[in-house]
Amino acid sequence: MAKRARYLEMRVLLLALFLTSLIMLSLLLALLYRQNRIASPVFLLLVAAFTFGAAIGSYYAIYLPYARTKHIMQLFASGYTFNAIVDDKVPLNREMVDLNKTLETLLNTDQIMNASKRQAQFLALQNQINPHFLYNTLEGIRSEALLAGLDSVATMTEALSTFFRYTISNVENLVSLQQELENTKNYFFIQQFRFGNRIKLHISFDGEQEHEVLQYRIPKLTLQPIVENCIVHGLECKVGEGNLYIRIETSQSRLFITVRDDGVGMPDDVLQQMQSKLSTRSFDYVKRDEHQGGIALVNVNNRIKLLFGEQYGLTVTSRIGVGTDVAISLPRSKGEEPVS
Amino acid sequence: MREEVFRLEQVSIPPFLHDIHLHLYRGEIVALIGLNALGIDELLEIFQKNIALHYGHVYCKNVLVNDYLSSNNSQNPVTIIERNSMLIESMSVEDNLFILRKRSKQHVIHSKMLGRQMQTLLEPLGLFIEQKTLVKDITSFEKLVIQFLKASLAHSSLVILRDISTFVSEVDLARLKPILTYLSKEKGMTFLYVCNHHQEAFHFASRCYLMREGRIIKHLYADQMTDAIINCYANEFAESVELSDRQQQYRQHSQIDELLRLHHLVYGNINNLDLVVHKEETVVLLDSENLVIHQLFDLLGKNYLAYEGTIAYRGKHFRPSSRSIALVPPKPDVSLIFPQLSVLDNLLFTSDHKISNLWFNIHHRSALAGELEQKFGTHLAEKDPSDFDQAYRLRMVYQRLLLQKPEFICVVQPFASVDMYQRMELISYFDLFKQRGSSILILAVSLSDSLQIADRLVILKEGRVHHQLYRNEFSQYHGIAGSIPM
Repeated sequence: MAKRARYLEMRVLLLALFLTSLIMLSLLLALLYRQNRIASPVFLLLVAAFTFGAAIGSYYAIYLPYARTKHIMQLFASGYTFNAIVDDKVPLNREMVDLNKTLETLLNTDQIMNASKRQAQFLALQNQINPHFLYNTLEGIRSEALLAGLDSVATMTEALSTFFRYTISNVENLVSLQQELENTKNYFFIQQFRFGNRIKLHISFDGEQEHEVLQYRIPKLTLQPIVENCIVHGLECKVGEGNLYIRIETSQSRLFITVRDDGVGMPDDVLQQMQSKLSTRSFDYVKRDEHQGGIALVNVNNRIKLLFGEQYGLTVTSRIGVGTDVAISLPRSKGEEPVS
Repeated sequence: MREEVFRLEQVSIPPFLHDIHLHLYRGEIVALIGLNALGIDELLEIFQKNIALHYGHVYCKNVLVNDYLSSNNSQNPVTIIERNSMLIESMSVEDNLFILRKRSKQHVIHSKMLGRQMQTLLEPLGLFIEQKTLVKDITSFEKLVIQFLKASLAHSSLVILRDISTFVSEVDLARLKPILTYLSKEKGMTFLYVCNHHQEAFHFASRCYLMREGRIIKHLYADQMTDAIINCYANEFAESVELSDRQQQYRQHSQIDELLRLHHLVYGNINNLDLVVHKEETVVLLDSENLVIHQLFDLLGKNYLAYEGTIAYRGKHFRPSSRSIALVPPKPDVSLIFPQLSVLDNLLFTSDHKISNLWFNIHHRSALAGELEQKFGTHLAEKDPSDFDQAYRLRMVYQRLLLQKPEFICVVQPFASVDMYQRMELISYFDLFKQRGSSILILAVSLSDSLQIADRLVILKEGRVHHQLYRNEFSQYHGIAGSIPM
C-alpha cells in the first residue's frame, strides 16, 4: 500500500475516500445531534479540523507534486530536459512509470551518443572532402611548391595528415584539452595557408597553471568545429584582419572555454534560432542532410549534454560588427570517464 | 583555479529572463549593464533568494542552491546596496556594524572596544569616523563604505551595488575605486556593479555583462571594454541622440534674457552661490561633492528662506506655486504620480490654467484623452497609474509637463536609475521643452546623459560655483559616469 501511495492517482483516490467518509460521518453525527442523542455540537469542530487537515495534506501530497510533474512535462515537451521526466519522484500512476522507462530506453544515451558522434565525424569528413576545402588546401600546397622550397609543402602536408588522423583514427569520446588545442591549432594552421596573416589565433589561460589545465578531459572535436564556424561564418566575410581568441578559465568544478571572433557577427534572427536550438534539446539535426548553418555547434552542445549532463553545454552571443562568442561550460575532470 | 562565488546556468523565468549564464569569482568586480530594465530586478532577486525558476541551476560557492525542481525560497548570503541604505539612521555607526548583525553573540556591549574595532576596519580604507557618531550625521559616501564593512562582517558571498552613482557624487565615485579594489583584492569580496552607463562600469569592473530584454547579450572581458564595442550595442542611442539633427538646436545660444537668478545664496551647505539661468537655456548644476542639491531643491520647492541672498524669477520673488514653474524631484514616477487619480487626471491636473473649465467640461477632457491615446492607450479616464511600469509613469510625468508648458523647469537627476531606452525618451522630451522655449535647470550629483541636453555645465565645489563649461567645452570635463555630446 505504502509503495502504491507514491502515485498521484492513489493519493487522489485516498483523499476521495477520506472526504467521502468524513461527509458520511458528519451526516451521521448531525442526525444524532438532531435527535438529541449527542448533546454538544463540538463534533463540528472535529469535522472542521479534519477538513482543514485534509486540505493541508492534499496541498503538500497532491497539489505540489502534481504542479512539479506538470512543470517537468512542459520542460520535456519544449526540449529543456530529458532526464527529469525519468527521475520524477511522484509519478501520476504505475503506467506512467512504465512509459517513462520505455522513453528512457528510447533515449538511451549510448545510442544517441553514437549517432551524435557519427554526425560529428561525418561533418568533419564532409569538410575534408568538401571541394572548397580540398581545393583551397591543394591550391595552397601547389603555390607553396611553386614559389618556395619543399619545406613548407612538407609542413602543410604534415598538418593535413595530422588533422585527418586525429579526426578519424581516435575513437575515444574524451581527449585532453592539450590534444584538442593541438588539433585546433593544426586546423587553424591549414586555414592560414588560405588566409595568410589575415587571421590570427590567440590562446590565453586565466587563473591557473597552464600545464595543469591542459590535462583536463573534454569531448573530442569540441573546439575545432567551433573554430571552423568562426572562420567560415565570421572571419571569412570580414574585410581586413580577423582575430580568433580562445580563452580558458577554471573554477572549483568547471572548465570554461570561450571561443570568440571579431568577425562579421550574426543577425538577431539567426542568433535567436541558434540560441533556441542550444537551450533546448533535439536530435532532429542528425536526420537532416541539408546544409544548415550551426549544425556543428548544436552537435557539440548535444554531445556535451549527453556526456556530462544538462547543466553543461554551449551558449552563443553575437552582434553584427562585433563578432560572435561561443562559451563552453564543461566539468573539470582529469579522469578517463565523465561524471555523467 | 579561481574560486567561484556564484554561477547561474541557463536560468529562465519567462518573460523576464531567458537562458542566463553568468559566473562570478571571489575577489573580482563585475559589472552588469542593463540596456533596458527588463529582467534586472528578477535577476538580482535570484541572487538574493532561491525563488521558483522555470528552468536552470543556481550555485553559490559551488553548491547547488536552487534549480527548477527544488526552489525553497531560502536566502543566499548576498547584500544589495542601493539608494535606500540598510543602516539605521538613529543608531551609531559601530552599533550598526557590530550589534545589528545575525551572528552577533555579545550580551554586554563594550562601546570602547567596538569603537576601536570600527577604527581598525576603517583605517585601511582611509576613513575616520568619531566613536558614537550617528549614521544620520555621516555623508552618503561614508554610509556606502559602512555598508561594505557590514557586508564583509556578515560574510556576504556577494555584494551587489545598484545604481550607486544616483546617490554618490562624481568625486566620491573616484574615491570609491581604491576602496573597492582593496576590499576585493585584500578581503576577497566580490562585487556586482549594476548600472546603466558603461563609462561607470568600465571604471570599476574587470569584466562586464551586457543585458537586454532579459538576456545576456555580451560578456565583455577587459580587452573588449571599449566605447567602440559598446557603441555597436547602443547604436540606437547614438543614432537618436548623438548623431541626429537634434544636436543643431544646442549649437549656440544667446544669453540675453535672464530668467532665474540666485544671488549670494547661503543656506545649509550652500555657500554664497551665484547663478543665472537665461531664457531657453538648459543648465546642468553638477554638485560633485553631493552637498547642496537637495538643499537647493528645498529652497526652490518648499519656499524655505535662505540665510542670506535671494532667488529672483524674472526679477521678482521666486514663487514655486506658479504654473509657469515646474519642479521635478528625484524619482518622479513615484513622487509626482497620484495613484488615487486616473491616468487622464494625472496627465491633465496641471493644465487647468491653459484650458478653461477643464474639470467641469467633459468634452474638453475627452478630446484631450483622444489626443493622448496614441501614447498612453485607450480608456485613460478609467486607468489606474499604479497598474503601469516605471517607463509609463515617467512618460506621464513629462507629458504632464508638456501640457503645462512651464517657462522654467528644475529637475533633480532626471536620468538616474533609468535604462537606455527611457533615457532616449527623456532626451526627446527635454528637446521638446527646449523647442517650446522653456529654461531648464538640472541638479545632479553625476552627469549621466545630462550633457546631451545642456547648453552649460556649472560645477559646484564647497557650495559655490567652481567653474563652468559651455557646450563646445564639454569635452574638457572628464567625469566617471556619463556621455558627452559629440
